[in-house]
Amino acid sequence: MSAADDRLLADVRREWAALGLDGSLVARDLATGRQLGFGVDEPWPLASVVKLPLALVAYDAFERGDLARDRPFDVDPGSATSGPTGVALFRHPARVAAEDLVQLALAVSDNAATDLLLDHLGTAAVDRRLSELGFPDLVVRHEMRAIYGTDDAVGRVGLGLTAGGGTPGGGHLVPELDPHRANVGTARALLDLLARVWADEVSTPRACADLRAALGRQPTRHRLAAELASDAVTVRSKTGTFLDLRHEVGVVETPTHRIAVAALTRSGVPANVQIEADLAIGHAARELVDHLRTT
Amino acid sequence: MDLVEALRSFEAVAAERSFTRGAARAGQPQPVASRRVAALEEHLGARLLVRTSRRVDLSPEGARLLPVARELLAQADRVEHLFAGDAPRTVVAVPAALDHRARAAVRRGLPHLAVVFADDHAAARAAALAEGRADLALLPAADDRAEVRVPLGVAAADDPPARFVVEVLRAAAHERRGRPRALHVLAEDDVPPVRDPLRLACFAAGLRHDQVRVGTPDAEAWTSVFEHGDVVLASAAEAARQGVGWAPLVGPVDARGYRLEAPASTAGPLAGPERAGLLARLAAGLGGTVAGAAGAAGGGAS
Repeated sequence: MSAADDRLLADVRREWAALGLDGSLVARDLATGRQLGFGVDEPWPLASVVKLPLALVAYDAFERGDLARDRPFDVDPGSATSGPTGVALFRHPARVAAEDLVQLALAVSDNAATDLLLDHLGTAAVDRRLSELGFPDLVVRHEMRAIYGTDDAVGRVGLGLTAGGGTPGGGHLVPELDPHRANVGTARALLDLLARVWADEVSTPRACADLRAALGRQPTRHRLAAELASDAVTVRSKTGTFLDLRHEVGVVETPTHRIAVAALTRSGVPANVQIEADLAIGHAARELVDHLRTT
Repeated sequence: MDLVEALRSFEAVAAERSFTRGAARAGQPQPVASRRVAALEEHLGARLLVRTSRRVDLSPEGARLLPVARELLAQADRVEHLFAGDAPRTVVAVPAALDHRARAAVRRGLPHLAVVFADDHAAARAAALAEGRADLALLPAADDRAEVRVPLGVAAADDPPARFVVEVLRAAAHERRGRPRALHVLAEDDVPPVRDPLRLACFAAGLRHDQVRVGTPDAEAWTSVFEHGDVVLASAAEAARQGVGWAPLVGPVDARGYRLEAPASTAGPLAGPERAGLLARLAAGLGGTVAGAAGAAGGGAS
C-alpha cells in the first residue's frame, strides 16, 4: 500500500476510535483486485450478514435441483423465529415459496424466512456446502433464533454485557458473539464471495445473477450507502446488526467501477440505534471507494 | 549521652551562674546537672564552665556554645510542643463545591469537634474514609437512599433553555465535520448512580461516543464550555460560580445523592441532633436539600 493509502486508513481508524468504533474495513476493486483496508483476516461474528452466504447456498441448491424454487413453506406465527421484519411479523399462518424466502432474508433481513431455509437445508449442510464452494472461512453454526429469538430485556442486558464479555484469546461469554462458537467470517472471505458472484465464478451464472439482483433490494440506506448511493451509483449489500455489532458488506457499482466493500464493526456505545456510528461507517466506505476510483 | 538534656543543664547553669540555681531552673537534682555538664564537656572535648568558690563563669568555649545551645533548645521545645496544644480534630471529607458560608456554619455548629474540611471528589472521599484519613465523609448514594439531594442540571455558556434535553447536542447532518459539542461529567459525578444512567440516556438519544466525556478535570471542562460551547453536568450553584447559565436536565438523573458516612462499624463522632444539623448545613452549602424520609429510613451511620 502507498503512503496515501496508509494516511487514509489511519484517518479512518482515528475517526472510528473517537466514535468508539473498532473493526475491519476492506474495499476491493473487482476489476483489478486492488485491495485497501484493515483487519482483512479478522474473524467476526456475522450477525445477519450470514444471510449472504446462506442465500448463495440456497440459489445453488435451486440450480442443483436440491430444492425447488417454488417449494412452499408454512409460516406458523406460533413457532416462527421472531424479528422486526418480513414474515417474522406475520400474525396469521401463511405459505411462502423457497425463492421468496431467500429474497426476504436478503432484502429485509427476515429472521423467520432465514430459519425456515436453514432448518430445511440443515445448518451443518449449509456450512459444508460453503466449504465445497471454496469458502471455508465462512462458518455457519446456528440459526437466527439463537440471537434474535430473545426478548427486549435480554437485548438490553446484552448491550451492557458485550463490552465486558470478552475472554482471553478473542472469545466472548455470549456464544453468538464468540468467533469460536458463532456464525463467523472474515472481510477477505466475504469479499472473495462477492468477487466470485460478480464474476459468475461460483455455482451457476443464474445463481450468481439471482443473488446479485436480490442483494440490490435492501431498503436500508443509512450505513454503507449513506454517502455513496445515487442514481448513478448502486449499492447492493447486506447488513448485520446485533448488540454491539454493526456490519455491512456489498458491492458499489459506479459507471466505471465495481468495488466490493466489507465493514465489520463493533461499537463501544451501548445503544441499539446508532446513526452516528452508521454514518461513520458510510463515510469511511465512501472514502475508500473514492480512493480506489481516483488513485 | 542525651545531648539535648545535657545542653539544657549547661544552659540553665550558665544562665544562673550557679549549679544549685541552674539545676533548679532546669528542674533537675543538682548532682544530675553537674554530671550532665561534665559529660558534655568530655563529649565536646572542651571546658565550658569555670568554677570558682563563689560562682560559675563561662569559658570562651562555653560563651561560643551558649547561643547555639539556646537555638537548639528552642527548636527542641517546638518539636516537643508541636502537637501538645492541639485538641483532637474531626476531618470531614466534602465536595470542593461546598461553599464557605456553610463551612463556617458547620464549625460554629460543632465547636467541640474542631472540624477541618478535606476537599476531594467522590471516589477520593470514599478512599479517605476507608483509610482513616477522614472521620466523616459525604459519599454518593443511590437516589432513594440519599440523605442530601443536590439538583443536577446542565451548565452552558449560552442562554439556558427552560429545560435541557441531551438531544440538542446531536450534530446536524450538514455539520458533521467539526468537533461535536460534548457533555462533561465531572469527577464528582463519576459514580454509578449518576454516570451510568446518564451515559445510557445520552447514547439512547443518539449522541456520539466522544460526546459524553466522563472525568474531565474541572478546569478543563469549564474551559471547554467557553471554548467549544460544551456543557457540564453541574448544580445550579456550580454554574453560577462560573457565571454561566443553568437548566434542569430532562432525563434519568436529576440530582446527586449523598449520605453522611462514618468509618465502618462505628457510629461516628456525632449525636443524632448534631448529625441532622450537619446534614442541613452541608445540604445548604451544596445548593441542595435534606431528603427527610429517605434519609431517616436508611441504616448505615445514622
